[in-house]
Amino acid sequence: MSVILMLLAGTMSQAQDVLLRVTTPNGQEVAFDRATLESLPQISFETSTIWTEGKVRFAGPALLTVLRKAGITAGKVELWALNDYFADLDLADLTEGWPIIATRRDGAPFGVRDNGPLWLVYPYDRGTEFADEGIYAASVWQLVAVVGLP
Amino acid sequence: MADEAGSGAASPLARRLRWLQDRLWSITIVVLVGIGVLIAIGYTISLRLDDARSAQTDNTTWLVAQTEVELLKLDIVLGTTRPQAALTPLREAVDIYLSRIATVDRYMARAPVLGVLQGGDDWQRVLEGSERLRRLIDVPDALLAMNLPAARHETAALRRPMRQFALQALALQIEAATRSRESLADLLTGSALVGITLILLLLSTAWMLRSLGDRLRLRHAEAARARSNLESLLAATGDGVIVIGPGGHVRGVNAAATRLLGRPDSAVIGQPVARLLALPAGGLREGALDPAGMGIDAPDERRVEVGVLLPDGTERPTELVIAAGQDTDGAPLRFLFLQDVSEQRRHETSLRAARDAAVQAAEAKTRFLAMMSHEMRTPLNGVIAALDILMRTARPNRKQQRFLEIAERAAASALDQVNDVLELARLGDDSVLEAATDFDMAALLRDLAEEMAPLAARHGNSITVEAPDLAGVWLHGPRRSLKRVLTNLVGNAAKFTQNGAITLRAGLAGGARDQMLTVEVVDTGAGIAADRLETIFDPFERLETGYDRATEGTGLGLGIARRMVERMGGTLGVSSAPGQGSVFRFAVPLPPGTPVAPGDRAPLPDEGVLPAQEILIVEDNPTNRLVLREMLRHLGQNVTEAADGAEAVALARLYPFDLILMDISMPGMDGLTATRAIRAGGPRVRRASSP
Repeated sequence: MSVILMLLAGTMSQAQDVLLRVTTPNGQEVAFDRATLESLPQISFETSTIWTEGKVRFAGPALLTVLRKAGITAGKVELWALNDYFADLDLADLTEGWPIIATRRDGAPFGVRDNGPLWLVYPYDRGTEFADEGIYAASVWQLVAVVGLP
Repeated sequence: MADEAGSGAASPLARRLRWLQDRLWSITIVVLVGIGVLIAIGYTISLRLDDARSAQTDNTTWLVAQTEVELLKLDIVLGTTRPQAALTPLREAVDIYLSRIATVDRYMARAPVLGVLQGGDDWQRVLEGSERLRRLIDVPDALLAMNLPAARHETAALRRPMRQFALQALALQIEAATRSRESLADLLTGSALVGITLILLLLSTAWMLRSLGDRLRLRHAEAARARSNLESLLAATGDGVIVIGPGGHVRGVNAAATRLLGRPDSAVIGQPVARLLALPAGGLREGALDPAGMGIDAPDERRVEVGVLLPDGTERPTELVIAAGQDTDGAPLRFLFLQDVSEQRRHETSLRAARDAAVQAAEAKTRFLAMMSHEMRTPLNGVIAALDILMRTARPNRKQQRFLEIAERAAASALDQVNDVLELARLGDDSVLEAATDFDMAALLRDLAEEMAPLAARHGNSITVEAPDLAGVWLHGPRRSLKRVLTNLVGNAAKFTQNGAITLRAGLAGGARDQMLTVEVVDTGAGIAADRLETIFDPFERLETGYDRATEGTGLGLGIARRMVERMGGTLGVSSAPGQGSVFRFAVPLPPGTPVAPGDRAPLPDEGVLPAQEILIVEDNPTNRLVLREMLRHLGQNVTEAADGAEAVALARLYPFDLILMDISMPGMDGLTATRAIRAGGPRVRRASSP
């Protein structure tokens, strides 16, 4: 299936830019473009963040869904940003509901200048457990790659 | 126990307890306030720790430093980008840089520490420079290639204000962190101080409580020891002890009480006392019983007799003493001390029976003596009268005359004795003495001395009267009894004195209201031994015993004298020593009397010849009748005889007698009935008399 996806991605790469590359621990790379990400089950929530003003509605697939899609079901992953920032995450700390890889802010896609086009976000307003430096550090914006660690 | 508790109120221990009790509230309040303060401080600390734990901010220093890094990266990209090369990496670097600037700007709007920097010159220059850079970059590729030198110039110009901004942000961060740490330290110090104060307070309270506890334990041990001693005492005592609580229910009993009640502890404790004791209705003042509803009162601590209700339905006579007490909490208690008196009662009953029997026997003896004496007096009177008649009428020769005199003296002596016995019996009952009259005391003494002189002379004694105070003194009292006393005393002295002197001394003592007559009868006789001084007053007591007694008599004289004096309200005593003679003295209260003129006195009967009268003798005893008839006839009287009342009534109806001598006790119609019948028959009798 991943092969087909890869093929599909390869054929459609002309039309759609790859937004996210996921590398499994055995070195296989799965690329996701906007359409693929938006075809996955979408999760949406409204929250404020310490980096934005007012409430923002984020929408996108859960990180867990995307990783599962790429064939990573356990272990740790590194989340890489456009400026080579990266953060570690354990899959055990993930849920079906959060964090999500937001593809849209307030219903519209958003670019690099607005910390896009992909931003790993948590529902920060949902509880004090989200007001945590670990969570803030894992909230990688301008997300471009996920590397599964062996 | 209650007293112990009462006196304990003033003890230092109790004072300290009271002191602590009074302050317990303040201590509690202080501790509560202290705990409140601790909680408040703890909450604040916890909030601060929460702040530290849950970062409301991102790592600010990183955020600010990263902005400078992105600027430098952009600088590098700009420096390596050639106008003819691809421009995508440049645009991407600019995008990243601008996103950083926007993020920091928005972040500062809400960050309290860095807020001051947002309006600062450096940041404003960064924003302006960034905006100019954006304008140079956001153009088509052809124009951008031309703008490259200007863009390089802008980034170079941005480096200095960016550096300044970053350094200022760092300084502010450090300062804020220091402030926060210091205030947290203050909070912690404060809470430590409050905590230590509280701990010290609680420790000192605990110490005080502990020392008080020790003393209380000591006191408790003392009280327990005292109680145990008391309980041992109660268990050992022979008296039954019952403790009654409010409502009259038994609180406790000792071993003796359970034995006495005939029931085990379990059947006694908690029971109403009225079910165990038959309380006499009046004895315990049931009406006034008790405000506390004890069912039993303790009016005084005197003994009362109650019955213990035994399980088999009988009663055990018991003596009960009730004492009032109090429980430690002030509830009234009654202590009943019971003593089994059934044995005592049995003894008392048998003693009483024995005494009653003895009294009865004595009374019977007295009655018997009195009756015998009375029955003997009648024949003796007959004998004396007969002898008298014989001596007057017959002409006996000398020898016969002597025997007649002996017979008469013997009969008279027997009559005296019988009279004494009768007198003593009469004094034994409660009959009153003769009615009081006025009499001349000196005359009484003179007469007495004259009468007794012959008796005294028989043993060669003389009688002297010494009563200088009594010349012309009249007294009011039982003259005959007084004379009888004096007669007996003088007679006694005359009998026991040989060739001596008897002196009769009398005088008055006291005032008009409490006047006493004092009399001394002094003899020079044999005297009386000390150990016999009191017994001589007992009836039938005489000093000599055996056949060689020198005197005659019943021995009743002194006993009669003493009883008579006592009946008159006086006392009679004796002092004597063997060979020293005796002094009998008595004193009786006798008020002054009114002198009676000699003319007022009843004329003494003339010794001359009586005029002849018609006399009826009513007497059932033929001997008495005969003697009386002969005596009256000898006196020259006309005598008619009747043997009973009915005959007398019939005779009285036939003839008006001058005088009727009526016996009272007769068979058939008695004397009283006959007298009433004769009187009812009319005034045909001029004078009547009943012996």
